[in-house]
Amino acid sequence: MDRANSGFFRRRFRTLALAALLSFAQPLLSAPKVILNDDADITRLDSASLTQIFAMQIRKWPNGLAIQVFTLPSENELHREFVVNRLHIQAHQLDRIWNRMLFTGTGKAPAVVKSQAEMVEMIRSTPGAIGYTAADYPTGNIVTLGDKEQ
Amino acid sequence: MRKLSSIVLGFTAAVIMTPAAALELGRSSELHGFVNQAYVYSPDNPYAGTDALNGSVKFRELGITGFTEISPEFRLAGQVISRQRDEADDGDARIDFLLADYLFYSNMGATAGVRIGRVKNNVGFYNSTRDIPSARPGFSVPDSIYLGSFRDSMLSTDGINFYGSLLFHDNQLSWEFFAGKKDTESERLEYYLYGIPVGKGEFDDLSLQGLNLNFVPAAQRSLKLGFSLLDSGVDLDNPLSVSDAQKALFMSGPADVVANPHNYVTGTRIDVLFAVLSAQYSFRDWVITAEYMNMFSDLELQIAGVDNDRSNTTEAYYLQVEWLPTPATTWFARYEELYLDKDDHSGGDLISANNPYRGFGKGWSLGGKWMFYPQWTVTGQASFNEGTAWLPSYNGMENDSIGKYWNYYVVSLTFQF
Repeated sequence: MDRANSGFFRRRFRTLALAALLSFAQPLLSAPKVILNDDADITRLDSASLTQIFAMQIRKWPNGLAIQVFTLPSENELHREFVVNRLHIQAHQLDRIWNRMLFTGTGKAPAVVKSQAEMVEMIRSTPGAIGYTAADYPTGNIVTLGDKEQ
Repeated sequence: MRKLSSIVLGFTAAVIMTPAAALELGRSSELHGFVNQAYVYSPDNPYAGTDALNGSVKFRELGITGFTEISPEFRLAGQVISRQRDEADDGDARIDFLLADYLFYSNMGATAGVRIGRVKNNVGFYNSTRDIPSARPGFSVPDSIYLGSFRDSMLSTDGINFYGSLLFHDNQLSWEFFAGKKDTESERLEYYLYGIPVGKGEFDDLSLQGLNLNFVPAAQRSLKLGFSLLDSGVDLDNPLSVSDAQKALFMSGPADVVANPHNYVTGTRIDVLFAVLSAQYSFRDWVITAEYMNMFSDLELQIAGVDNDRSNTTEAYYLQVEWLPTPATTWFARYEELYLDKDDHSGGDLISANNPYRGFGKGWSLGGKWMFYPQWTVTGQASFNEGTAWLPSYNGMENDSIGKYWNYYVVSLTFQF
């Protein structure tokens, strides 16, 4: 391969790499945000803990307060986006975990809210609550887990 | 009485079938349930009775489950289930589980708790939910591993269950140990062991202990690996005495013990070690599941006072692919094989005259589920089988002739709240 051609391919590769990076970053930038009740007293959570909380396996915050999980309905697009981009599993996996717990008497499913407005209201008013909204949904002064903490 | 209890259960289910997703009884209690009605057509072999040969609707499941949280650590939960499966299950309401659960340790990295009462056994991915229509991949759980002959014996334990989960370097491990006893359905076990009910005696209390581990690696959150072990033992209570057996043999002639050994059983003890390896991988709309089962059984069988001990290894596996193109639709395909005697695929001593192919099973199942309206699901399944190891047994099965190749087709309607 001559020098001119190899330069062309290097430039092409750089453009492609940049495009790939941007397309990977896109879901993270717009991924739904996790919101918390003040009393949960927490601002950082790793992704595995977050998954375990929504799978109803971790049941208390470090300060001993019971965790109250809120979700949108399973078929809701934002819910599915949240599960894939923040919990890194599929929505049907979570549905099956909850269903199994319910019908084996070993746990319960999270409380389901109908809208983001209701979600924000429940998180604000329920001690130990955790939920999510779209990244750009206004949540006022509610505690939000930043992407850096994920 | 049996009819009455299932009617009462059905009525309760009907009364509480509100459009709400669940019946919330105050802040910390909930009631849920399901009704499943199936139509089964099994033209080649009788399926749980002869009715299905021409198509039968005698396949119904009802369940009511509830829990109350007394505190964040302490909860009570229970479930009553009625199953009717033509001749194989009578629809009698029974307590599926009833337990008190205390979470004695919980932080962000680990939890541990204890459950006391009747607790479902987590053996493989499906054992604890095999009677819950919404938790099954199709109409049935994989028959090869979740063999009907052992369903009652394996379903739950009356005893103690320790459980917990652990997060380390983002790897997730959940664990469970349990021990206790279980009433067993004697007749089903007798059909499995002798191919026909035994002349005298009954299998009563089974002792059970087991463990279940599930692991999700940090590097691949879509992969779930499982290991289950179940150890159980049971004696035949009040069998025929040796002197009675010898007297009977004297009357009918020595050849009869060969033709009808079940009439001369004077003692049986069976110890079983049941192990399942499980793996499930979810990728986008696809879920691939595979499980392998190995069951070692040690049988101490005495016929007319003569010991006839034998041990046996049963082996099975299945591979299942599910596709979930929409949140309301699932399609699946499954292939499975089961050999009651791993060293003799034809079944060896386990086969009986009317059912010569019960030593093995191989089969394909194809099907789908569609939630056509919230809480309402229709399920279809077609199964194509060779060998009858998992053909459900029923009282009187020994009088029907059983063929080698058999298919069955199911359509069912489920409501869950």
